[in-house]
Amino acid sequence: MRKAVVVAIVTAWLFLLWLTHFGGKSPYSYGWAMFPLQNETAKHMHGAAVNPDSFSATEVSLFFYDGRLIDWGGAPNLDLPLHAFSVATLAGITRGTLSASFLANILFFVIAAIAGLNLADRHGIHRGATLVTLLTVYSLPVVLDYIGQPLHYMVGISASFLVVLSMVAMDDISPWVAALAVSILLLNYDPYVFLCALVTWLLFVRRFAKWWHAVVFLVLAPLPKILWTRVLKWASQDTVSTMLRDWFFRPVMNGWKELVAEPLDNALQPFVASHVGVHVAVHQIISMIYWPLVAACVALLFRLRPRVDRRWMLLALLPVFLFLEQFVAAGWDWELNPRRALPVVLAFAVAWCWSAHQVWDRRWGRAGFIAMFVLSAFLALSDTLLHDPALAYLRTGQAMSIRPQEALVKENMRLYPYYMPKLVPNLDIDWTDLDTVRIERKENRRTIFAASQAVGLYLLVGLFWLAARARILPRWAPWGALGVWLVSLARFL
Amino acid sequence: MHKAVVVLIAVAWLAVVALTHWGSRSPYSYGWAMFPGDDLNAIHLQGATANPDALPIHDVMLYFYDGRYVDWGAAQNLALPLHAFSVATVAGITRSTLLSNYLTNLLFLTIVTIAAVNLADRYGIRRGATLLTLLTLWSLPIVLDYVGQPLHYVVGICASFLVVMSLLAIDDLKPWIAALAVAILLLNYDPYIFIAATVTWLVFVRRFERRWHVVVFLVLAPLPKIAWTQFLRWASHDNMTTHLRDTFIRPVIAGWKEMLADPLGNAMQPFVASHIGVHVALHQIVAMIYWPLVAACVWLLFRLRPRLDRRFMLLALMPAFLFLEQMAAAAWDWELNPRRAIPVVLAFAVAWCWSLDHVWEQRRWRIGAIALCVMSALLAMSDTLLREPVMAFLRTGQAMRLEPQEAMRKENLQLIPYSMPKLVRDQEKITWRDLPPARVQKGDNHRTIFMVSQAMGLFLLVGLFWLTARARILPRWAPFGALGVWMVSLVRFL
Repeated sequence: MRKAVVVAIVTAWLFLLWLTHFGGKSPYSYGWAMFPLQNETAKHMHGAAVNPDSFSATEVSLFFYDGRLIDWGGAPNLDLPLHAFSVATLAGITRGTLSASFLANILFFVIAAIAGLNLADRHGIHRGATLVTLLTVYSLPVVLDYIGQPLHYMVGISASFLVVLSMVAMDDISPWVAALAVSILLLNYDPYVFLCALVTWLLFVRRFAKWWHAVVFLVLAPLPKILWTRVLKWASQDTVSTMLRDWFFRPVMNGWKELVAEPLDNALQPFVASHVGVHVAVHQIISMIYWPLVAACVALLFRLRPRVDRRWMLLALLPVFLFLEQFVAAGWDWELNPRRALPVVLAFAVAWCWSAHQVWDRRWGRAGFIAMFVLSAFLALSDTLLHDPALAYLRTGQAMSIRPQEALVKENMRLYPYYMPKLVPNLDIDWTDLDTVRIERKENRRTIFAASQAVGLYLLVGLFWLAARARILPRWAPWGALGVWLVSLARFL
Repeated sequence: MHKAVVVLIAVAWLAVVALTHWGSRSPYSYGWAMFPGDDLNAIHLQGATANPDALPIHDVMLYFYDGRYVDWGAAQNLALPLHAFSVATVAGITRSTLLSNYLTNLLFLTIVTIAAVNLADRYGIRRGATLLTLLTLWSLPIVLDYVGQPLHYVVGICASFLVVMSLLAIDDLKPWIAALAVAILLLNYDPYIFIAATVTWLVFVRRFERRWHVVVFLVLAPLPKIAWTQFLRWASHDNMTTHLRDTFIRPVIAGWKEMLADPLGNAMQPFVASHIGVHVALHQIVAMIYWPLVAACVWLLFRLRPRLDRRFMLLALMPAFLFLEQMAAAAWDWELNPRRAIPVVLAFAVAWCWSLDHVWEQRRWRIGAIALCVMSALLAMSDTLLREPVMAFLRTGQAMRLEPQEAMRKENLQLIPYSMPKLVRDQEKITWRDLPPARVQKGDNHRTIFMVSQAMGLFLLVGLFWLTARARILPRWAPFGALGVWMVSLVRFL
């Protein structure tokens, strides 16, 4: 099977999923209607029903689009500029908020698919196995919930995936290349598990050739994050959002501070917190990867028992650090969002692809993998085919904290206003809502805009350069990214 | 290490656990006080604090003691007579409700210990590995929660464990022996997973020599259960309790019937129910086995990858059937009790013992196994040492149903009335000798009912010990010993 055919099939599948899951049809929009007592619900953005979080994310995209004034205190996505910058760049060409967002979602996942395919080819994986893996992974909630949302999740996820795949593929990792990889993760969505796994792997498993390489790496890696944080502090006059810190970190820190303050009174806290963590992490994993896939993957790994060399140890570290993260945090995490398990999706994808390759020549093995894809595709399209929102419920934060049987109550719902009065449908969608850009001169707007574009370019071109250096994307990939940005300057015309 | 030393150490540990976890110190008693909004609370039985379930169970025990009248409609434990019969037998000697209960619990755990050491010896397992496994196993909730309760759990669990271990150890498995094993399980506590695994294993994995053996097995195995059920219907004038059927089985059947009635309308139900089942089963496992043990065991199995022959496949079927059971039932099970995972505890124990034996020569792993055993012991003793009840919360049905972080709130509770106002203490005077000499009444077929009940109890008790003796995991005289104890217990009539 030709490489182009694999990419074309995967892209077509992604497009089909977008078509059936955008706006009001997105689980991340209609999901709110499953909770009639909750105040929040989906809202309209240029006619499309979107998750309410989209508004602050789009604000940040517009900040990157034309440097307009932003509510610094309500823009947590400024901490992860790659998505907003990428969408703004595409918006410079499409002149539409929604069209740019959706395009960015699909584009980044297609790029991740190409990178995955190239990496698999390099290791002699059967193309059929790669195709089935890509189609299976792209039938998981990681795509379904976010492909039709103007949100940062898909770009963020695929950027993290690309960084990890690049690191795995690279033969010679110099400290500045490693620092670039970590700096991209540091400025990306929910990077903690990826970061811990990558830094541990670089320092203790893969190891640098010389000890001072480790020092160079540790000094260089956080620099872009520090710089960008400084720019934001300066630009916002220190009013930038601390939501993440206040909502997620503080409660966890306070919880552990209590233990340190009274270790004897809280002697059981480490075990109880880790028990909660194990339970939550396992639940998160089966929320993000349909349980038959998890079960089959574990069984196959047990049977085939791959020899995980140093290079691939990075992927094994991802589930390990998910569990560690949840040991530390789940006891106090108000949200318990299953997205925390996204790094495990990448580890699963690689393990699944390798396993599929190992059994591809056996008819039953091949049939099994195809059957698993068909099951995943059916589950992915269950809301479209059966108007049943139950699957979307399984991966909500609420499903993590409400009694398990609530899922059956949701299974009785249907995607009709009669069952779900809070359902918000799409209206007439405005695909080209953006005007020609004019940046005002006052209040350092032009300097802020230029600095933002610089950091965005660093991340975007850096990411593609990394993937190109790892030979999982073509050599011209960074130039291509730069070229698209240059073309997007047409927004000023 | 001498066999007797291993057994002595394990039994000494059991005695320590029992001494620190009976009456009000039992997690199954003080656990109620963690839920101030719940109407139920611990009760007093002969002065000792006990779980409220102990009352109807006590009635069934007295029914086996002297054939006295029982409230048939509330005596669900009549469906699993082994515990009540065994306690009544011991009570015939001790003349004490509490003492006979606690003794029976300890006795059955000791018997399992001996059987396990014998089984491990047969497979050349190092005694050190067996001892560590037993100490770790006896630090798990299956012992802590129930060893100090006048309840059927310890006896029920031990009986199931003995049956499975016997089947593993018997070389020549005749259909009537297999039928006896399944018959004991059918009349035991929560047998569904054990039965499903055993029958599947017998019919499809281990297989009988001839086809008609299967027929003999399938005809004989349910006979005692049918006979006992018919007898209870006759004795109770069809007033036997249907509590289990109504609260656990009916809702599950109704749920699946709904799906069959409208398969397209409920097309997602199988996946949603199985998702709930997988989640609940995993949660139940880590509630019953401390998660570091589960993690270490899985890791060791992954590394060592044992070659499961047909015989030991029975143990692999235990977790498989737990998952299947939960996939089918968890979505409609109001209780979600982690005890469902008890069969996995047995599978874990065998896997742990085998793994430890394989890595025993590696100092690192030996130290690791000892550390895990110490950790388990500390967790087991945490309520005694730290006055904290939180470990007990982790294995409640409520922990399965409430948000995960509820455990962190329970972690702030202390086993003192200020922190847990519903806490019930043991009374100052505990009655250790409360049972009068037995007199079976003459009217209403009392004597016939009493004799049939004793016969059924004897069949189960002696049958169980005969099975283990035939498997050579208990001495040959074990069934005669059981019979002898029963005969001695007839002193209750003096």
